[in-house]
Amino acid sequence: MSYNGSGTFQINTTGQPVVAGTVISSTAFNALTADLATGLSTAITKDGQTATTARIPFAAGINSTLVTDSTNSTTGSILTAGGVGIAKALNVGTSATIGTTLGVTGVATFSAQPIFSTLTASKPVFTDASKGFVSTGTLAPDQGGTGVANNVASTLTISGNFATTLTVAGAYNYTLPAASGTLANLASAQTLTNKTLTAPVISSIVNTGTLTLPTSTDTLVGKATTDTLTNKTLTSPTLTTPNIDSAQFATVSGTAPIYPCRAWVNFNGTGTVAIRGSGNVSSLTDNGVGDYTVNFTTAMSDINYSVNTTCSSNGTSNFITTTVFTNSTTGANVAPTTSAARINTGVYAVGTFDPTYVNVSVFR
Amino acid sequence: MNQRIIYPNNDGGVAIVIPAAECGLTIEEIAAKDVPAGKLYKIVDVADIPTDRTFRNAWEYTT
Repeated sequence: MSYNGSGTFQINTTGQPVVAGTVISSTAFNALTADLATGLSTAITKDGQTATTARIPFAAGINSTLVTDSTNSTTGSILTAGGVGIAKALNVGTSATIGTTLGVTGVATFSAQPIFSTLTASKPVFTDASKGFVSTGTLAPDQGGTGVANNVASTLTISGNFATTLTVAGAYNYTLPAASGTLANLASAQTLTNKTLTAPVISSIVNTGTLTLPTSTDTLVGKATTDTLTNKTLTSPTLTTPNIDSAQFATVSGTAPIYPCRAWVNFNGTGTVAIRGSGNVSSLTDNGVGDYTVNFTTAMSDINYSVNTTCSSNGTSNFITTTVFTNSTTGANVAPTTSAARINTGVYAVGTFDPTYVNVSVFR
Repeated sequence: MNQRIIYPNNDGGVAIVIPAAECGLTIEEIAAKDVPAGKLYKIVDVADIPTDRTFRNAWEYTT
């Protein structure tokens, strides 16, 4: 035996030590050379002739002065076909290149900015949808942002001049900050400048400033433009100098209310009785001498309207009388109706007559 | 309109309805609206109405 199992080389003691002046036993010599051969064959040769048959403990570590290409898998300082197992921390002085996959089961701490380059997906991939980057500080968008995580309440802070696109998929609520300048918050009051809204649905407009509407020919009413309103109901409107049917009200002065004429007629009561002009009058009934009924095209709202009748004289008397709601034949009152008013023309103390000019107007 | 509507009034005389040309109604529509309900009426030419009204209250309606 040459080694004692603990790495100590032991000389075969048979015939040892040799004594001066004596014959050295061939047996002892041969045993010695055999031990030496066994010992040297068991040792590691520095030129690499020997392949170790067991793990070699290096109590003081391994130093190598070999300088090779670190990216070359056949010329590195340590080459192994079975991988390298490291019981404690691995400290790489410069850079480490992983040929296939780097798996980290513990916490990976980056004390400097990690750079992801030439990625297949151009971005880190989180196979667990509920995991992602979590940072206690503020990261810029090109650094992944702060708290960019799915399905968790998080705060995204974006600063600097970064072109950022926020793409939201799924039914999540994103609350934007109440920014005063550049962001529109859904629930807060914001001022939008030079925005084009395409087909917006506006339930109501509350405006304290200037609201400029587009020049529309059909569906919009401009404040200063001329528009035709169809089937509009105006409740208690205040009309300033309205232009209604040939400016009938354009010259009105004072604040007394106006009650327009509801019906009128100018007719000739002599000869062939004929209507010269009328408004809201469908016909005139000639009941007899100086007795007429004005029939309204559209009925009055009630019978409490006022009838004003004037007529020309009979050519001989100045005592012309006109009456309303009276039967000139019987002298009895004729109750007014909403659709007609009966009038009479006559001469005081003489009787009825047919005037050439009879004017009737109705107000309500 | 050169037509008139005549019907007997309640006093034994005759009422003559003169249509208003500006009302936009036809003579038939005016008759239906302005002749009292239940009264028989007749649409006549204006030339058929006497122009001398001296005895206007004595005019009578004949069918």
